[in-house]
Amino acid sequence: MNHLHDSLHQAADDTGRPLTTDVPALLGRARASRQRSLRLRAVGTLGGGAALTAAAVLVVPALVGGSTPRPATPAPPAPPASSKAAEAKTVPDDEIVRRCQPQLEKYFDYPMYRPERWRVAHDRDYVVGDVVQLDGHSRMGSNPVLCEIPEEGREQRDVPFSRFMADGSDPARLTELCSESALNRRETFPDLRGGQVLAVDGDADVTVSLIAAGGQTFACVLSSPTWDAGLTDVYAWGRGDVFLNGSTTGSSNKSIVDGPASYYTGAGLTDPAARTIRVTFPDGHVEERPVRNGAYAVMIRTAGEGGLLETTIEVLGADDRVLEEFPPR
Amino acid sequence: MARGYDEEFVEFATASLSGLRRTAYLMCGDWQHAEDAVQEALIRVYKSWRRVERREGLLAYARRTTVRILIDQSRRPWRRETSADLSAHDAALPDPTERSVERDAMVRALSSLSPRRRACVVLRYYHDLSVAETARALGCSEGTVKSQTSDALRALRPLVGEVVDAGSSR
Repeated sequence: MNHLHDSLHQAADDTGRPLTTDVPALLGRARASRQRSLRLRAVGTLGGGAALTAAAVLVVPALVGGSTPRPATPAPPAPPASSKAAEAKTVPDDEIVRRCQPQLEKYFDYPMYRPERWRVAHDRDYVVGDVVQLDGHSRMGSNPVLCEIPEEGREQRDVPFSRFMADGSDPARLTELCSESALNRRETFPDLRGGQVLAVDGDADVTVSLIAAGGQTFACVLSSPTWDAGLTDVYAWGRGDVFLNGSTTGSSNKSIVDGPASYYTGAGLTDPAARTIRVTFPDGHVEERPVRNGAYAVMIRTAGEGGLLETTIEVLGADDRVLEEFPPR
Repeated sequence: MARGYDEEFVEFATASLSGLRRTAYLMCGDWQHAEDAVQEALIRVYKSWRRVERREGLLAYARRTTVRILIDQSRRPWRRETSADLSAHDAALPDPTERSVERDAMVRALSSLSPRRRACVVLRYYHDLSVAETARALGCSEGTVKSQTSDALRALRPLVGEVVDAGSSR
């Protein structure tokens, strides 16, 4: 008897562990994923850039409620529109890694990045001009990096970090960055590129959005790639309790964003009758964000070194009636 | 996409999900994470359906993809790591029988291995793949499979020694 074989079968006994996968829904995600691939391949015949501008249907203003935006650093001009048209075919993974090498150098000034044997993190099709996440081979090595795939011969062109931030004014770019910022272990998410932006909040440094794609909704928190505040995150989040994640920053980090502050972020779906989310801090300070069709996104920055504070979150209806409160009374 | 293609996929996914999830569970020790990985693998199968169908068996491809996804996911980035605490997994469903204790011991022992070594054990001793088949599945040489498997069994021995001693003589 092969005891190891039997023990492994015993260990994998799934009695009482029903599957939760909805196969028809999985088919929908698979089709959406494949359609994305086909759409990108079709760019070559449709003309450059067209595919990416058709992305979002609903765009919510980027700056809402009482958040205090910092002066926005103007994003550098996008690469020439001709770049995708010039090479609108799928770039092989090894070629992407080769072309991206010069762009990666600037990352290594920051402690969370180090040179790696890079590989393309997601199993997707990419063309010139696309943002791509590269992941390192070593187990506990560098954070993943983002690269904008350059044209052949233009690999040395500088692509500043600010190219990897987006707000609600450019939903196609926002969904692309969110899609690429998702980590490998979350590859079960559908490709968010071309998803629908349901809500967005934030400023030049931190953008929080709610994106619908593949029949699901996803909260996306984007911060600068070089900002060691642990804010960037993409996760499936639909209807449910309203809560905010928190993070703090100090001025000691070598970062393009400095200064002590706390950040509260969250996005999701709530009661369709809701109109406002009200966040109340212990000192009485109140922040409000709009809810549209049940969708909300919240990014609150509080300056100073006070650390994260317990907040009360109220979901308000049209007449400011409290529909829900978190934590519940 | 032809209607028949979708129907074939639904049929294949329905039939293969349980088995693939069991394989994935041995790789990661978490049923939900395992099912997520299988879903992703099945999406990749769908995207390459005809090519895979022509070149190799769909199930073998799905299994290989599942294992590779889990190996990839185990390469966690610095600081942004979310640890998979096996000591806490499935804590909501206590099952203190002797059988479950043995089962948990095996899963914990597997979790102590590097992902590639774990994959070698799962493919060689759970799926009974040959060294050559395992090498193909993992995209490495047969020598690597032999050495990784040997290292894995050596590491497992102190944890589940009886099982390894009785079951690895091939």
